[in-house]
Amino acid sequence: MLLCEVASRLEAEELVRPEDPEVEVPSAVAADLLSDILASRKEQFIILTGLISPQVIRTAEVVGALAVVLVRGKHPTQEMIGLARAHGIPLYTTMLPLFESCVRLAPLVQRVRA
Amino acid sequence: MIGTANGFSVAHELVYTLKVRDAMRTDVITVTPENTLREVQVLLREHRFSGTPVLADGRLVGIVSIEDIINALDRGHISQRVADWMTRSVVTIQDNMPLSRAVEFFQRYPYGRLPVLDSGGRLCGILTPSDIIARLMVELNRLAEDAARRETDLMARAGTRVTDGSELKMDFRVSAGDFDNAGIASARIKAVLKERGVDARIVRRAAIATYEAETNIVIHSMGGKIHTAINAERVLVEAIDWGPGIEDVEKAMQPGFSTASELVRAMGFGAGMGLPNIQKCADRFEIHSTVGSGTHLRIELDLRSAVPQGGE
Ligand SMILES: Nc1ncnc2c1ncn2[C@@H]1O[C@H](COP(=O)(O)OP(=O)(O)OP(=O)(O)O)[C@@H](O)[C@H]1O
Ligand SMILES: [Mg+2]
Repeated sequence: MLLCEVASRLEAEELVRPEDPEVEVPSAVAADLLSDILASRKEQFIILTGLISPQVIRTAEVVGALAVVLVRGKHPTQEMIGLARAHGIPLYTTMLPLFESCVRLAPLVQRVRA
Repeated sequence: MIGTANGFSVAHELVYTLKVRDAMRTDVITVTPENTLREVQVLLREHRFSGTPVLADGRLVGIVSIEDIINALDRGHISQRVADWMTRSVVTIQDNMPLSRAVEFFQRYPYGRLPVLDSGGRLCGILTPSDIIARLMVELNRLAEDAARRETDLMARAGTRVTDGSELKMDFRVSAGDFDNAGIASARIKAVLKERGVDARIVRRAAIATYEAETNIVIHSMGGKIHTAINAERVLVEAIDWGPGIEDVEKAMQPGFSTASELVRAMGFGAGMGLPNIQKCADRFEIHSTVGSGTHLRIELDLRSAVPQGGE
């Protein structure tokens, strides 16, 4: 799936624009624990989370996440937006809860695997 | 950004710190009592305004709104003088008042615009709700830009760098409880390794291991430091803190073991996965801890093998 497809599937608002909206997103990690994201063995993924803190962006930077999507209508602080800009990490927010977001993305991920 | 949890509280703070003069428009088109309503109608249409202040000798004496014009057209007095039909009791606001005051006014009165007066009582601008929103958006963006600039500066400055023979050394201080800056060392190490063309998977493992070490110092210790030494063969990361030390290291190394507080868990940490994750990411890993004096992690990754090792 492409990053721009993810955004439109999730009806997400774009807060930090991706350099390449057409970047291929092979998978996603959905977690409300940064520890889980840091321990994930996946390599190319976007992060879906309900957590709001600069650590979300720092974690995304460390694992090289392709983008961060904040769920449940969570809005980041300006600090987070600034951090994401500085590190070139695309940032989105969606009104959908975490589970619903995963359900919407599942068909796209399966299409990649098929 | 406005109206939702975080954006709202920032915007809320901003309306108290910004003044009316920070948001008002100063390119005000005014009319005099001698103008006709027809002239005002043309003016409002041209500029797409919904009303205009009326000035006599530089003093605000009234306001003519689009409703006044519609009424005039309806009732046939459109060619009469402004003086006879303008609204005389005008609600105004001082330019040095906080924007929150203007927001309150817009909630209390049915008007869509407020003439702004300076301390001498002279008209110096006009304010509409959309001026306030536009200003808040600019200000919110500026806050984000400031944060981005701070981060870029920090990345450029963080850590003392010395080149010692063929080795690049970087040292970082890590303060207890300083969550916001946990991640600086790992981001720097990542950038340096990337710049050197190290395999992306190795860079990633080095960054993750360092970040876990940084957060442990922030969360569990009284403060410490990260030493890094990079040469062509390997990257060495040492995380050293000044206590309290770990009582049972074997237990601490078990996945899922954590003494993190509820508060730390609410921030997304404290799953007890950090130390096992460091071990998984590293090619060589040592942990030494003495209760009362501190913990010392030695994390090493080979830079030449692209094959992931450890638990992978
Ligand atoms: N530098 C340290 N000083 C004192 N205690 C530590 C230190 N590092 C780890 N510990 C202890 O070891 C436990 C396990 O650490 P580990 O990093 O595996 O998990 P965590 O930090 O609790 O959670 P996570 O890393 O998943 O966010 C910690 O809960 C803490 O009790
Ligand atoms: Mg930890």
